[in-house]
Amino acid sequence: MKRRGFIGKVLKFGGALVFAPKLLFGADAKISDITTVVNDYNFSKEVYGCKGKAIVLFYSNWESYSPTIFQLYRWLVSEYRDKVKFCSYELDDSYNPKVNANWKENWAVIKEKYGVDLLPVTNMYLDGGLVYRVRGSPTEKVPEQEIRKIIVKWIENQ
Amino acid sequence: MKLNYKVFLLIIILSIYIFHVSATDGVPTTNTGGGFDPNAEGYEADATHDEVETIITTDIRDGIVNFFKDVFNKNPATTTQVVKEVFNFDLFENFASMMDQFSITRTPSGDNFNDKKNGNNVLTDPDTPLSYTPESDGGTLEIKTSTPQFKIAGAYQMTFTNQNLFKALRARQIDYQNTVSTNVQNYEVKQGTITASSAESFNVPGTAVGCTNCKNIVFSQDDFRVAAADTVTYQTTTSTNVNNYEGKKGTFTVTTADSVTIGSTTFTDVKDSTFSVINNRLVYADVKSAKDNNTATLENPIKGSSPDIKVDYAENSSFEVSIMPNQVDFTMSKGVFLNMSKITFRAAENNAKMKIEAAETPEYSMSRGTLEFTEKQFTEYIISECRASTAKIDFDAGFIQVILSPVLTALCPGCRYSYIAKDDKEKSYSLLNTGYEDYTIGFYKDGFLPYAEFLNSTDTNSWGYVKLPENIELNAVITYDRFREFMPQIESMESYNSAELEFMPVYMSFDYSNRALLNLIGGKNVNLTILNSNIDNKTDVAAEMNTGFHRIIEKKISGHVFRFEDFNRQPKSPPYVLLYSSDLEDNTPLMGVIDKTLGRICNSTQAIVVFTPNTEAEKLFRDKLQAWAAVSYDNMLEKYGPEKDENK
Repeated sequence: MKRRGFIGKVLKFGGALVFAPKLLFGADAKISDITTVVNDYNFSKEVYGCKGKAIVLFYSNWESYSPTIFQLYRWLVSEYRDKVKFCSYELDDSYNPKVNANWKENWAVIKEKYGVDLLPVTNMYLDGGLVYRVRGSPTEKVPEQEIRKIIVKWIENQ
Repeated sequence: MKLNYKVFLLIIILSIYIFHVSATDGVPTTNTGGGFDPNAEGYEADATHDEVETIITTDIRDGIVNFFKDVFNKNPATTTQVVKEVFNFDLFENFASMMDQFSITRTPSGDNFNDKKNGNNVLTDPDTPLSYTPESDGGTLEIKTSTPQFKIAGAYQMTFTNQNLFKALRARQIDYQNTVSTNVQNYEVKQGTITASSAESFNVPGTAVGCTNCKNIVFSQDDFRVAAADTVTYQTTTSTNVNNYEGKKGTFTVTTADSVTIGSTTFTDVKDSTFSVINNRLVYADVKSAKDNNTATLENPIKGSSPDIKVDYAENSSFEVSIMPNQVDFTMSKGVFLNMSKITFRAAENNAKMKIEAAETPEYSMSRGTLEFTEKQFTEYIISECRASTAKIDFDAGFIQVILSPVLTALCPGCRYSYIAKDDKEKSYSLLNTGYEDYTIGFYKDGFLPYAEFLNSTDTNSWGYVKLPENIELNAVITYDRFREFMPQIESMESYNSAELEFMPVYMSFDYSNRALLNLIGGKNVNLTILNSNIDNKTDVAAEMNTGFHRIIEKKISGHVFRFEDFNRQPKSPPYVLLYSSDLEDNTPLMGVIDKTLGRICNSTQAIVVFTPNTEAEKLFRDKLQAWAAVSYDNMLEKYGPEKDENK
């Protein structure tokens, strides 16, 4: 095992201190724990009534695409939580075609209300108005870095 | 800000060329190509997936109605008199694609219209031709009114300038009916937004938005704002004498309003308030009162509770409420009072909370306040100063089951349940959670909650069960309090029952293994049995029992529990405890209180000495008691403690 000298230990400890706040948004952090959880009842207050920028992640825990964007979202929250209000809207099993026979009705409603027709969807709001949307999860053509670039540009350039 | 936003979008569109930017709902979108698409996984395709919606607004002036898509700014008028019009139409897409412009002009002779009884002219004859004049060539086309179907009344002219409007109209199925706007000043329409500096009345066709005597009006697809108005209607809501009204997608705010009515719910004299409506029902309100002695009445959807909730609040007091089909949530400022007929809640501090949840017996969770149930014979209430406590309340029987929150800090004590017997206050009692766990109490209430059913419903060790007027069983850490006794020498029963009395501890348990049985005699006096006084190392006093001038403590010393008797010069409780017994080994004498006198009793509970309080005999006994080392633990140890290890 590589031995760490005194200075190395100090640096390690210092590094731990520097990055300690980000541990709050580490790989295990639940999206619902690090964001404002929104639903139909509080969406008006939390998002439409929000002065400034708000980002809402529409996701679910029953399909495999949403988790691929969680890590990016944790990073965004840890870096920009002072500039942007981060919210999350979970689509529960009532939207799952494999579980709920009436899934189409629920999808029609959420599409009409928020423009969500697949998962995940990231909606960006400015002073309560919807101004931009990222539709889907990272792919080979559009990797996570590109999505990150878009969202960060939007956060920093307005 | 808008310029920057546009520049930014342009940068994104140009630089990230691989992205497909769509505008299905007018919102710039980046499609990654990944994601869960329910329509792509073999589930039925959604035919409306790519349907385009277009913002439609109207300009109404001098009896002319124009539908347009983009910018309208020609010939602005300062005053507009708008006439009545009624339109119902159902346009077909293939029909709409046939034309670039379409106009309907009422002919002076009225040949194209049939009169209705109410005086409006209505086009009903499917064979009646209407004129169609494309702007480019000025030609004419005859159209049968059955396709598309029009129903029109009043003096009007309609002009469609873009065929896409037809798709949108069809998609939105806009229904224009009985719209009236009068004396509109500086009426303008631009990019889907209507503005006017004032209007005697203002209504937007196809919506439930309107106002009277309103100033600085702004209306778009998402917003409706009015600086001041006599009345404002928004969806199914009505507000009167409003200042700074802002409505957005079912939510509206006011700076001040004399009244806000939503369905059967009315708020009066409010300021800086927000309301949200879904399906014509109030779902959220954040309200501040503009006057003292204000009352708001809300619908209560919870079955088994009261049909409505009256909120009494003073000037500058506020409350926030979310109303869902199975749950009502309140957050209140100090002093706000919720009245649900027999059930009330008063906020003792700011940020007090009350939640009502639907269940077989509705559940009321609250913090920082007092939740009370009142019947003719009794009142019962719980006081929760910091943490949330819960009560299942039957609207006839009262509290059925409560969970008392535990102690958090010295400034944040545990929750207290109290029962006040109105006709005989001596029967009143109170239970205070002095432990660090939630404490669950079940109430028999004439068989409403049987003992076995209660035990099955709870899995905690901190629990109690009350079966009035027979007995009370208390486990774990809890304090049982009573009022002082009635003193006929100095007061009448009437004055005693109306006096404000403080609860005093009769039985205090400090250990989670304790079990006490309080057999109530006539619902008032108590035979107290303490079982399981085995205590862990965290506590040294297991239990304390007070009866008038005397106190008995079960205390842990050197790993064993001993019993101490003490004399209280300051009485801590009335002498309601007639007989005290314990499962401790009989290495110390038991104490008994019989007929308000204290005495040492033998193991068979036969009294051997009895004394009346404040008599010479009792004083003598007290001296003997002290001499008998009851108040000195050292002496007690010496007399009854474990044998000393002489080797030490």
